[in-house]
Amino acid sequence: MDFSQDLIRGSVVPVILAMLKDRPMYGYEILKLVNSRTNGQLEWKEGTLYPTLHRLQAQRYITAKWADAPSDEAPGRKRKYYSITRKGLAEFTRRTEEWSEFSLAVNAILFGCTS
Amino acid sequence: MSNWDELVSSVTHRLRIDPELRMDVSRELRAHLEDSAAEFREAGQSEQEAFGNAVKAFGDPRELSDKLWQANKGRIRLRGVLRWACRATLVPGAILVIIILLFNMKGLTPISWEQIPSSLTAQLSEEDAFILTADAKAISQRWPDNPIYYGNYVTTVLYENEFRDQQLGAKPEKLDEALVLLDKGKRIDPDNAYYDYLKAALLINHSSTISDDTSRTYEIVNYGGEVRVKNCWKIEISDKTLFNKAIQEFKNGLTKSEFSGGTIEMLDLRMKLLPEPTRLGDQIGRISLQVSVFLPQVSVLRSMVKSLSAYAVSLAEQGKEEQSINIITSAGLMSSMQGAQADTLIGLLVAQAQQTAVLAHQEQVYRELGEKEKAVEAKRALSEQVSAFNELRSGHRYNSEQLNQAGMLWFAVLPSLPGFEVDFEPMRTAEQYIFTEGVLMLLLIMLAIFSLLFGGATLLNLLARTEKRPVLVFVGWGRIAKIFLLAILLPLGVYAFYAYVLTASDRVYGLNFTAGKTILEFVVIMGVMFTALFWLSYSSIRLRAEQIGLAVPRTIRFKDRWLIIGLGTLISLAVAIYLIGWWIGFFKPQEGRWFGWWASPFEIEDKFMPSCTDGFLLAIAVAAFLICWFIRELVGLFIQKQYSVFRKTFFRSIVPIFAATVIVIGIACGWLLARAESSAVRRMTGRAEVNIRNEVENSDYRFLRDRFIKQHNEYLQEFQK
Repeated sequence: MDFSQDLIRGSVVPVILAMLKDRPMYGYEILKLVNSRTNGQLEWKEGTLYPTLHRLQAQRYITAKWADAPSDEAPGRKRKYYSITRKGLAEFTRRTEEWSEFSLAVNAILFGCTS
Repeated sequence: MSNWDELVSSVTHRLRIDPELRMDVSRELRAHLEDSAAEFREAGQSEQEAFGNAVKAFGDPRELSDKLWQANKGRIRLRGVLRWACRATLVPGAILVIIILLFNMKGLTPISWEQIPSSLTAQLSEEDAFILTADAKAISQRWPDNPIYYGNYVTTVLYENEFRDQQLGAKPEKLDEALVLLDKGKRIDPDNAYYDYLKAALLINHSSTISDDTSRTYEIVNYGGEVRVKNCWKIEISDKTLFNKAIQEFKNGLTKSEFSGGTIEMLDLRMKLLPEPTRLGDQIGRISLQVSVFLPQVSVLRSMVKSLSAYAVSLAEQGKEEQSINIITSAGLMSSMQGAQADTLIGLLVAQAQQTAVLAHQEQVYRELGEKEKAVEAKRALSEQVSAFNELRSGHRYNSEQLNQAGMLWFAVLPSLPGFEVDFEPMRTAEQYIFTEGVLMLLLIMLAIFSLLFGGATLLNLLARTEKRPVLVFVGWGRIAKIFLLAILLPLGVYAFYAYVLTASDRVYGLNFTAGKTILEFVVIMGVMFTALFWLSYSSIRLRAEQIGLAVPRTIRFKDRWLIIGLGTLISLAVAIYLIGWWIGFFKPQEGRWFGWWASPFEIEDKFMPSCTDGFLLAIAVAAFLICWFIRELVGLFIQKQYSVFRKTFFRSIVPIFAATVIVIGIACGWLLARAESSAVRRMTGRAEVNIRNEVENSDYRFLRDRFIKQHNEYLQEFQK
């Protein structure tokens, strides 16, 4: 099932922060991981990912650092790795709670669930 | 340009106003495309197919371009503002800091009263400001009845070229005018013998000439024990009337109790009006102002004493006993009065020279008159006068260990001031701080020059409008903090620990003793700071340039620089051994002298050995090594043409780092050092102060003055008989 662009756009930030909260990642890696974990249902494009990464970096939720790619993957090449900051972790927690409450509220209306 | 380059270029086109950010984003997108294509290849696609699919998966370039612009425009604006702020403030700020520090370091340092800055007179009343800065004539005209102002005016005007004649004291055509000035002085200050003596001296000079009398000699044993035979003088009177008038003026002076040319009193008045010194420059300025005070009467009056002495001998030759003895005794009375009232060393030394001449001629007078006993007595008096002076000069002096703590100024002044017990500490400390400030200025000026050179080269590159334009890269706040920590704070901290905790900089000794070692310490600390600053900046800019895709030289490895590193290690080892040797006392010279064998201004004792030279030579070795290394690295950068864009980028990006360093170090260290110097200067009072008013009082020369006082009383008693 294809999701609407509004839904995808609304979830990009928490998803990126969730990806980066465990370890630093580079752009292509995030893209691949999101697509594989959601079986291609989210199917992000570069036009979605990189501008968001740059905006998050400007907002200091994440930082970027150039580093050597693993020699068994891409020897001699450098990649730009993004890491989550303390501010980013706080934002991730806030977004997670917001999403949880939002989905409960929407579920209550759509499916009549109360909890 | 590959197709990826075209794609990436079109996607990032809107970011072109921030070249560094555009290059960074371009490199990131290119890496993404390469990863994407690699995966397609791994899935079994051909190079062509993998490339096409990677581009296809990339999405709509126009949409991405627009979104990248929207995501980054805030950052671009902020970075743009910061870049312009840096351009507008850092380099001008650095130059401003240097100018302010240089201006503050200078202190007062005028060479004449007319050059006193208006800032020093701003707090004074109009009258006081006038006294401080106006010329002698104007002050005297404003207060015509003030004897000090008038005396100062007469003394000053007679010294000016318009009046002054080296031989005659005053030019013949100006003699009448000079006599009118002196007569007016006699009316204003009737108890002052100065005008009578000066008038007599000018008249004698214009009515007679003196020359060596080789038939009459006397012996003087000088300070080194050497016996010197000197000629007496003979006089030839060309205008008897004028000469007699001169003698009458001279005798008028003998009846007066005071003797003052006004200049020293005027100096006292003016010095009190100057603000308290706060910098060493202020102190030096005060000394130069004191030195510039005219004491012209000393040479004219000395010449008169010679003439009077010769005249007394001439009268004795003519058998005029009473007149002859009267003249020579009067000359002795005048000289001893000058000595008894001398408040400057130069005044006292001139009185001593005059009195020596008087006593030598007194012997000749008595010999000519056939009074052998009195002649012998006069000869003995001459011998006593000379040996009293020699004893002073060979009396109590500082030994070399004490002189090592004197500092430059006191080390230079003390040999001429036997017995002067000085508190060396304030001047020594102030000298050390001013020296440190000088070194700091050298470092700052060096950094500013490099900033201007690199900035100028960048400007030329930008004006050339070539494709390979240099980029102003921002290395990141973290790296900037690291540069400041490692290149500035750490070396300064280590030096502070070395100097103040280990007390290894030997600040209890003066620069006259430690100059060589201190220069070495400063060359090392400056070298370390400059090298670390340059090297860390280079590494950071190189890394950032590499990240945004510029071709950069590879990092320097040990095997590339084994010769330089080996040489550097050897020099460092020599420096370390030398400084540790000083610290533990092993190499500390027991005797020392200023700058060693090649520039010692004074030989106080024969034992002085060249010791500071070693430190100075090591400092030259360190400086030469660092300069050679620096040039080698710069030349290396220029030779490698493939890295020309990086080189230009490096030159452009290091400018704000250097300029910021100048501002930070200049403000922090400059302020601290200026405060420390001021504190030392404020302690320069009493025994720590040098001025022409205390040099007789505080040194053994006061004994010579006491001797003149006693002698003057004896002359008075004899004269009254």
